[in-house]
Amino acid sequence: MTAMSLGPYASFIVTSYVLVTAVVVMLIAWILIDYRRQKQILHELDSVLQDFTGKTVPESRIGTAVARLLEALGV
Amino acid sequence: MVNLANPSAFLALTRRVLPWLAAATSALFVAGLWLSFAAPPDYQQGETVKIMYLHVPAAWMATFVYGVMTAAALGTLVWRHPLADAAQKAAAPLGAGFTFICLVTGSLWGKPMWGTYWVWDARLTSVLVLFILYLGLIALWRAIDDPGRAAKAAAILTLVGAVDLPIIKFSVDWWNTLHQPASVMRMGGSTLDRAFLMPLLVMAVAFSLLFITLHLAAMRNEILRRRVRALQLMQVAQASQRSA
Repeated sequence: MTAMSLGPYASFIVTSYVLVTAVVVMLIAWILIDYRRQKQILHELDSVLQDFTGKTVPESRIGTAVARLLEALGV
Repeated sequence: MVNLANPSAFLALTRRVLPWLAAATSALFVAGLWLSFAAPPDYQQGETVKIMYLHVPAAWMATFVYGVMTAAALGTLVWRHPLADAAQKAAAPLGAGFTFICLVTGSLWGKPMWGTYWVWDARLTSVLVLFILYLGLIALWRAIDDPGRAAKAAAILTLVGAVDLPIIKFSVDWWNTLHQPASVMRMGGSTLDRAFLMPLLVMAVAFSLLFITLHLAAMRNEILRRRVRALQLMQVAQASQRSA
């Protein structure tokens, strides 16, 4: 289907389809990025909280998790 | 059903069904787009009728999503269910997205057909109010730190805003509007020819599946966010114990 066959208002039609695609892609990207972020924070916090059970926690992970914790608390 | 209301069971369910839902949504969009571009031009609108295959499903979803949020708001206020909170919060950006699509595609259709991008008639204005409501709800969720308090406040605003839904639906009957009255969902059946109805309905099902897929995925994110918060609170408690 070429733009020529869409008649005199092809630009309005093409803009509509492009815009809808952009909005849908943005919604999907927002959800995927948010999912990865939450999983990453959960993973880091899980590592820190394993300390409760006596397991060794890498220092680097504690630092990252505490930094995120302080950031979340607005400190 | 009761089991699925458990957040852990819900996470397990979404892990299983989301890939299938995403595949079905993609397949329906491919079919819907093919039917849309294969459909003949309308005798009055010409090829601009193709914008309607996006505009009408988006308009239906804009109001349907708000209906879902209204039901979830009742779940929050009456049954105080945490999944209802997640459903409310996750649906708002999706509803805003569908309403934005509805407004912009309607505007892009209006310019060649009506000669203007916008008129302040009852249907257009009430949908704009719906869009502002969605933005207000998103802002409210972000403004309150405590998720429980935010859920209650958002639920109350959602229920108040639900008055806009019948206004949107019946605005074309109650007032003299430039926007045409209902031609698909009306008493006495659709007035559309099958050649236009088929792509419209396939696209409507595709939009509905898109919402279900994205809503489940966004609800999963909200549950994870709550787990993060719970772990962070445990972390604070742990730190307090050490320093005491």
